[in-house]
Order: sequence, then structure tokens, then C-alpha cells
Amino acid sequence: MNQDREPLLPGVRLLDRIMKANPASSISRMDAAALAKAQTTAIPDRGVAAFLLGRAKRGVTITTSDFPASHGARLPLRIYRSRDAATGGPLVLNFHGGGFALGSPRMCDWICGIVATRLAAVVVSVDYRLAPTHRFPAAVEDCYETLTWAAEHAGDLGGDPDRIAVMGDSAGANLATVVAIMSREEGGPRLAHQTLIYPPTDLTENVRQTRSYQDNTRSIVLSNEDMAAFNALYLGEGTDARDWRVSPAYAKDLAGLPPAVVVVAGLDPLHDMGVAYAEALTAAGVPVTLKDYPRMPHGFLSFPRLCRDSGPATAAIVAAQAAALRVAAR
Amino acid sequence: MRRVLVTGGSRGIGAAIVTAMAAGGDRVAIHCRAGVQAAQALRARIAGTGHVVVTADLSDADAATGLVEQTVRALGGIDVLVHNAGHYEEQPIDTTPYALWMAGWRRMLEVNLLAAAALAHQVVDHLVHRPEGPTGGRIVMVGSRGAYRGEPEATAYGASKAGLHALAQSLAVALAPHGIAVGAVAPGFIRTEMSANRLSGAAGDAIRAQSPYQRVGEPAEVAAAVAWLASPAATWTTGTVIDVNGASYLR
Repeated sequence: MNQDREPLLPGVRLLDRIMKANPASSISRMDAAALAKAQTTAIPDRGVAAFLLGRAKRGVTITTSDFPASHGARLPLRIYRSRDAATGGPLVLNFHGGGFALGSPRMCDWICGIVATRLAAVVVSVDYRLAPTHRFPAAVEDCYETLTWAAEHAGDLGGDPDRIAVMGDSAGANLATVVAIMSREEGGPRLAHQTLIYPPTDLTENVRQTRSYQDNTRSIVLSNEDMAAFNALYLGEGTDARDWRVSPAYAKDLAGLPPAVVVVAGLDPLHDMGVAYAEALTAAGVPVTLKDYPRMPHGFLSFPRLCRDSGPATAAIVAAQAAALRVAAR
Repeated sequence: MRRVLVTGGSRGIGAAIVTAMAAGGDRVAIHCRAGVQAAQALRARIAGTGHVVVTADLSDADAATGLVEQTVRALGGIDVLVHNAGHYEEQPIDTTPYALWMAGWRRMLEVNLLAAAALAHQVVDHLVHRPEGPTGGRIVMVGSRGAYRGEPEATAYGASKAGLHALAQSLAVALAPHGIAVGAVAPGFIRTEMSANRLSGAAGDAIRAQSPYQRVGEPAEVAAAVAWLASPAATWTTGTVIDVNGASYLR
């Protein structure tokens, strides 16, 4: 699709204006002080950000907890349960987006709440350590530890240890599939499903060869400069971006990974790498559902009020998860 | 008392078929892929006794062999096969890469069509070789309106269901000498747990407006048609495909 000629949907155009008017929304225009401030500022319960991100549905109980991680501190968790669900439902781990340097579980209240209620699942979202204070592999380690901890404590959490899924958006999708590969490699918990929402699967310079990167001239939500800035913060000097724990696209073998739903957006520099990863999973024999929303920007599921495809995309995600986790979606 | 195998019987349309057959006095084998909790809960809820839960993953059609053996062992035989299990994926042709397209086609054909053929073969084999003979056997396939109306987002689903209708019709001719009647139902949009998310909002209104009744179908309405096709009265209707779509598509 030629992105320059396609008219923007009104909601997407408004989102673009709001984002561009707010310098704190673009990592490539932030200095260290601004980044530190962004990392420590909690999203208020009222105001523009809270409105755009949406709220958890009624009927969702949100609690906070933490567990002792091997790096010495405790990792905060945000846990979503359906108020009327019995225990023993599936356990879904969520990893938030934000380029490995921004964001918090609060950003995902809307979709985590939907998954918790529709699947009668326990959704556990981890506040993993952020770059550049904690560069790769800190986030990967935190997310994998969350998986092993949650699997061991599934009963305490009210979930079923035999039905664990991972999900994530943007950087969180990278972490979700890296965790899935890692669990296979290390004989960790067996995952039943992975939800990869606009996953950055290739953090190398090869992204420049893709058409969706070259076509990303309007830079809605995520500019090519932002992407480079995020990668630089996450990796720092001397890290090989071809390490599969950085770029899962370079994993030697994707066979035996859990079934996946991959969501991609047309107005997103990451579109093509998401499709390529879905193809690679398919070639390895992994059942994949690809949902492509041509008129949506990167991050559209975080803006349910402005991006009209966030509803259908969420429905598709829930349907895929329900089938893999053997529950009847409600 | 007849013995009925219902594939995909733990939820949605399948669960309604199980409920209807049990209410009619049949003993039912409720098939599910995995996670037997829902199937066991259903078994506890339906009328009558002697029902069983059987499992098989029909994403490999050869699993049908074991499923029929399992059912014959548990119920002592099979008189009626209802193939309701199905797999649905949306894969628009213009945005789906070739490899995913083909993999999805294979998955849908495997469950929706090949598993039906495999089950039919094994059940007919059982019916023909049982001491009392095959007469009175029934095979009912749960097809889809999409076979006729088109499934633009899920082409493999529509094609597999068209194949399923054709399979039922060919079998009706082939099995008439054995006294086995074969039929199919072609449901339109039915309100199930799995379809609930598509029925909310404006998209839901459009779906309801497909029928002059301004609503979608209920699983029990499909089950009533299946129960009829499985009944002893349904001999002369063999080879038919019953539309169960609230006049949302006429052919």
C-alpha cells in the first residue's frame, strides 16, 4: 500500500496530532532528563493520557503484587482477574510496550482487562526493568523470571499451570516471543499460546531494507528515528543485535513454539518484520493467525478510543487465545 | 436406545446437538479436542444416563480412527455420527502471505473435510460389520451457509464446508443400499460463545439484519434440524442440505 496516498482515518489523524504536539511522546526528541522523568511519572487516572489509553472494563479486579527477582530487587506485578471468574482459568502473562525504555503495565489496562474477563483468565503484567539504566538482557531476564515464577505459583495466583500464554505489544511482543523461545530452549514452562502485537522481531539495520520502513514517511506514533533511538538505548555498545534474544527473527529454529496470533498495522515501520516472522513461524510448522490492519498505526491497540480497529483486533486476539487455551470466550 | 457420536460436542452448536439427542433418549459420546472440563459438565447436565466424553485432536484426520474405536468401546457401538467439529480462520487473500494462506487452508480442510471423510469411513465400516447390520444408521454433517453465500474472509472455511455438503450428498447415494441416510445442515450466523464478540456493536447489527427476523440463530435451532436428520423418519430426505439461516440466504 502506498502510505502517502491513503487518507488517514479521522481518529488516527487526531491521534497523530496529539502525539506530535507532545514532545514527550517521541523518544528521539527526548534528552536524558526528559526520559528519566517519563520513566518515573505514573499515568494519572484522569486526563488526556488516561482517556486515550482507555480503562479496564467494569467487572475486572486489578491488584498489585511483586516477587523477588534474582537481581536482588522485587519485580512489581499488575494482576487482572474477572470479578466473577472461578479459579483455575488460564494464566496470561503480559509484557507492555514502550521501546524497552518507556511504559508500564498501566498502559495495558484496557486489553488486559478484556482478556481477563473474556477468557476468565488471570492476567499478570510485569513492570520489567527499563533501558538505558538496565539495558539488554535485563528486560529479557525479568520477563523470563516472571514466567517461571508465575508457573510455579500458578495455584496461588488462581490460574492453571498447564494453560499459560504470553502476550505483548511492540517491545513487549519482542519479549513475549523471546521468552517463548527461551522457555523451549531451557526446558521451562510449556506455553500454550503467544500473542504478538506489532512485534519488533529484527533490531538490526536490516529493517532499513523493508518497504514498511521506507514508506514510514508520516511517522504516525512511531518514526524511524524513534525506533533507532529505542534500539540504541536498549542495546548500547557491543551488543550483537543478531542475538536471537534481541532479534528473535534470527533464532536458528522456531519449531515447537506455541501457536501464535500476530497483529500487524499498515502504517507501522514494523509491519513487514511482523509478517516475515509470521511466515517464519509458519515455515517451522507453528500454527499462526495473522491479523493485518492496513489503516492502523503502530500502537493502535493502546488507543481504543481513537483507533477503530482496536475492537476487532482485540476480538481476534481473544478468539485465538480462547481456541489455544481451550476456553469458551465470554 | 441409539448411540450417537457428536464431534466438537462440548460447546456451541455441538453442545446443543448433544443436549437435543440426549433429550430424545439417545446415549451420546461427547467429543472434544482437549480440556474435558466443559464436556464433563455438559454430560452431567443433559437428560438420561450412559453418556461419555471422548477426546481426539482432529487437526490430524487420522485421529478419527482412534476416536471411533474409543466411542464403540465406550458406548458398545455407534448408530449415528454427527460431525460438527470445525475450524475457522480468517485469512484475507490480499493481506495473507502465501505460506500462511496454504497452512490455513490445510488446517481447515483437515478438520472440516478430511476428518469428516475419515470418520464417515470408520463409522460405515463399523455399521456394515456389526451383527445387526447397517440399517438405520445415520450420518449428519454440520456444514455452513458460507458454502453458498461465500466466505470472503475465510475462503478455505467456505470451500471446506461446500466440500462437506458434497461429501454428504455422495455418501447419501453410496450408502442408500445399506439403509444409511446421510444429510447436512447449513447454519447461518449462530449465537455461540465463540461468535459473541462479533455480535456486539454496529457489526452485530449488520449481522442480525441479514435475516428478516433481525436476529441470529440459536444453537438449539440447528440442533433441531440435526435431530430430525438423525431420526428414523428421515429416510426419504437423504442427501438433503437443510438451510438453518432465518432466510438470510436463499438458494
